[in-house]
Amino acid sequence: MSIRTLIAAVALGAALTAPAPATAADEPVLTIYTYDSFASEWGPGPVIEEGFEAVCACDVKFVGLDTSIGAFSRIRLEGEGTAADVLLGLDVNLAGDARASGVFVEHGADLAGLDLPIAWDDPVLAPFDWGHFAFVHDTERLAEPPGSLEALAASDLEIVIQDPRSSTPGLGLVMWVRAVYGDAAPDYWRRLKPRILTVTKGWSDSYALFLEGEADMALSYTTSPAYHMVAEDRHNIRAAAFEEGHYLQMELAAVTAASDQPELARRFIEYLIGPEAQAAIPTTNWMFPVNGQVELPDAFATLVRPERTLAFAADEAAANRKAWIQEWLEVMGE
Amino acid sequence: MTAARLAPGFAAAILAVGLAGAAIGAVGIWAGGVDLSALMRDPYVRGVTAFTFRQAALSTVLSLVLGLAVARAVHRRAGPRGARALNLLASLALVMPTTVAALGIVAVWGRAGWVAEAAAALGLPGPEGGLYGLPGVLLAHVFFNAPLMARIFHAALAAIPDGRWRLAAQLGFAEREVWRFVEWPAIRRVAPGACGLVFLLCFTSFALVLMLGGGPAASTLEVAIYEAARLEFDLGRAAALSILQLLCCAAVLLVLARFPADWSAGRGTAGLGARIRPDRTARAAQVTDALTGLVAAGVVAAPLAANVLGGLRAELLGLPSDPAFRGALAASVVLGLASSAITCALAWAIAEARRTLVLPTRMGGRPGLVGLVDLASTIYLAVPAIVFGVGLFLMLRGVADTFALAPLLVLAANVLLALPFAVRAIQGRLAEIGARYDRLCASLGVAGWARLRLVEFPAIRRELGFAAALAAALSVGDLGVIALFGSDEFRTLPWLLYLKSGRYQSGEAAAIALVLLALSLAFFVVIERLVGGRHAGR
Amino acid sequence: MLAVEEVRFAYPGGPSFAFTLAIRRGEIVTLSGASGSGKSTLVDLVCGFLEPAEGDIEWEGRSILGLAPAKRPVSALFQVGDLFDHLDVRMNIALGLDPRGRPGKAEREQVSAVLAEMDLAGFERRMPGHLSGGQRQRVALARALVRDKPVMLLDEPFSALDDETRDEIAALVRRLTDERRLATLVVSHDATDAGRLGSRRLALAGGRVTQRAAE
Repeated sequence: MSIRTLIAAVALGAALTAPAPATAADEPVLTIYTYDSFASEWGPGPVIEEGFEAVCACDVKFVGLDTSIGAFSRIRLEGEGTAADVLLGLDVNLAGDARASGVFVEHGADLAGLDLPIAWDDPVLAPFDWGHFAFVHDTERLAEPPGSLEALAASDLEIVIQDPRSSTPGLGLVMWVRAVYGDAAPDYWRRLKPRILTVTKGWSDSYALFLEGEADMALSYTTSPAYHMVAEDRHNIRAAAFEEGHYLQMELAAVTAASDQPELARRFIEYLIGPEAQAAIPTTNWMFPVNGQVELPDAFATLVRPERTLAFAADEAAANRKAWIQEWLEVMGE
Repeated sequence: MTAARLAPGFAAAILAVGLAGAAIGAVGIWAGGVDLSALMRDPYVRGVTAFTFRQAALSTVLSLVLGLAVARAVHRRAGPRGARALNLLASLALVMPTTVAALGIVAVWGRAGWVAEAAAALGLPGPEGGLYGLPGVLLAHVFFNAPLMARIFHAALAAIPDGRWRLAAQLGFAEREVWRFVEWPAIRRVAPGACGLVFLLCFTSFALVLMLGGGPAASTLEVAIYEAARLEFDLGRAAALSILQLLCCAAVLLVLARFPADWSAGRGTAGLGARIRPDRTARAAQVTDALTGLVAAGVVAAPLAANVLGGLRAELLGLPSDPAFRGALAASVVLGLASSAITCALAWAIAEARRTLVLPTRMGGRPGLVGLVDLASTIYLAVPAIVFGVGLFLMLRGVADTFALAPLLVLAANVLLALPFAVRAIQGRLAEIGARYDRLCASLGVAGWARLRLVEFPAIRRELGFAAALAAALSVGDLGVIALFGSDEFRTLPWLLYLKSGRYQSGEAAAIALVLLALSLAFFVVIERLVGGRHAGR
Repeated sequence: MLAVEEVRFAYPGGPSFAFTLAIRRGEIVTLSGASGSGKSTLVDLVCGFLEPAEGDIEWEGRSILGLAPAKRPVSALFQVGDLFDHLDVRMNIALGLDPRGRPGKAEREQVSAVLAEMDLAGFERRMPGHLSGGQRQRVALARALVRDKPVMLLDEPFSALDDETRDEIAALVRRLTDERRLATLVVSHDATDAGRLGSRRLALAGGRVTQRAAE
């Protein structure tokens, strides 16, 4: 096979997977980097793309990368030459890094009217959905789950969590324990350790172990049960409410400094936190919308709504992240 | 003439080594330098390195032991059909996405697995959480690698000349003597290469080690690399860790290179030897083989079966109507075929160069350079995909559209990944052909293209068929490099699997995993026959 | 006349050899000696697989050193790998006519003719694996014949044959050497082969063979 036929063959393969949308030549293209499942056909990407294109006289192009951290890395590596106008999906725990990296500029959107569990007025990073980390269980296997972090450690359950070095929820749990126990966090980890069946690289491995019945509980989100109710009509997967409160998971959007159409990007942020885009969030991204007017599906009414939301300020999280992961590692590796 | 035989292989080798080196170099340069000595003093890194070595060494030894036992049992009892089944099994285990395999192992050996259920039914104590920890890591690595070892060893046994078996039968050798005088000399030649390959595969394992290792006490260097490259965006450290990993792997390969070895044993007459070996009917051998079968069933066959059953239960029927699935399937098929063709061409060139290099000096050999060629055909196993991907990205960023290049880069990565297996599949037979026909060809003037067409290809096509099938199966889509290259326009099946399992759709993920296995199997049946001809797979 | 004149060759760190001998057209010379005595080294030197450190190898007074193996006036039957096992008899012989392996009609007819001469008429499509030892040797001889080279080297041509076949092949070699005026060198570990071939016999010992001019 000659190189030419080979390239043709591969190009054919690429063409088969993605029929390129016809673009009017004079329309500006708004390029959005995000994680792949956000951009995928079953994520919020297509709905938001269609909705914004209807009002923006532009072409919206989602680029799905493996994770939001991957997308962030790519923007940093591309520097001035980045094609990205917007980054979607960074977690609060990485907000400090995002700000310090200098690759983003102010979004200009008014966040005051948003329905958020914490106060947030960051000029660079705009939240577009949120949820809380939680331990999920199957009511058929575990009727009465523990009601607190403390009770979890005192139980005889087997749980699966994720590695904070490679997973967002894993890092969230490290923050959660720190927020509750402060400097006594290592003690708590020591007590929790016998309950931990194993630690996985990513969320999906943990969740699969849990669904297979291998673990009694898995670290996930308060919104996880909603997926099973809406998509599968299964009502036995629930999240346990912990009385110490739950740590916040909030996804952020930002406009890149290298964008050649910052105004369009800012308009997109406005659209993203507006009612139309937000209405798509619950059943495509399985998170809570930031807009209070959005009518939630019934399933969301049954979800755990923590009385206390735990969250570190972005700078504090960024400054301590490495040390706290190290602390976790030391206990878990003992 | 020698130059013509060396040049293509050398070019391929230099390209492979150069690309890996340049990628890591690009990352280091971007980060403004690499500090290896600071890394060596870091207790975290030292602990992780020590564990990585320990688990890889243990996994290699266990795979070696089980692989050897399986190879002998198959050779003693199973005949050519058993050998074919072994080939398939080895290839399937190799191409399974690691986390899918891990779930299969959990389904058998986990707290709620088959073994636990059976134990509960019998009123016996089950495995509980005992899987998680070093046992889980070893179990998983043996699952992947013991079939590979068994395949290599079985080929070596099948290549033992019948005469030696006749002699053994006549002298009335018991099992011990058969091993010592007949089998060991054949195994010894292939064992170092096989061990090196398996060690590398285990050394760079990541998600599997974490998940079945039970926690961060079981972290490999790859985790640290991922952490540095991704979470901390500390590319200098990531590059340094990559170099450390390469050095560790190179050290192990160098130690193994001190043993006289030839990876592939060439081709056996496959038949008489197995039937007349004198230890077939020995009671001890029968017991060993039965035990081996039991262990192999539990460690390899059962998890594989669990995956197949899981996939069958899942939403298989919905898949064909899903455009995302159809696209990914098409991409994986094209990728597999293209990668297979390129891999075979490169592997042939490298194997040809290698066999020329190992000739005596007066015949044009240069034994000193064999190392370079071997390095080329193994290096990618030790290069962390994430750093390789970042490096490629940095090199290409200024000169080309990285989005458009994504499919080609994935292809390149797949080729490099499949190369070690393909080279090893053909190099033994190619050397054998050279030894047999070099003089005749030279004296007749059969050279160049005519020689490839008339002598090499017909003689190695069976092995080439296996290499092509394996490369295609391995290349239906590697996950490593795609991460940074914008993948939503070029999704392979493993990528779709990753995506679905990350979005609650574990049922579809299991179905995709099954399709992946079926596709690999189909590649084996079709490509091996097409390239390998009538006698393929024997 | 093939003349090997004071040829010296040494393997690095291994034994060294010295050869002097001459073979006229129509003559068979049998070279015998124990294994390791240098017989195969001599074959490799004449064929062009090894280059001598000193001395010269000449055909009809002109040096053939420096010629590629295929360009030398030499056809050889090797002890190992005398036929391509995966190619049929016709292709095996045709490669002597056309090393690119694309024989035309004329070549195919020539192959059939030489097969008939070797008592192998109709064997064109046979595979070497299905030939007896004697038939194999005759196919290899047929290829040597179609190449039409004046020097024929046979490396242990009888080792795998039974007595009757040995006599048959020996007679064939004798006849071909006479008819075609070949200079034939037979290398053998078996001293009785010289008698079988009715040839002049030389012995290799101590790494050297020197043929006195008087012989």
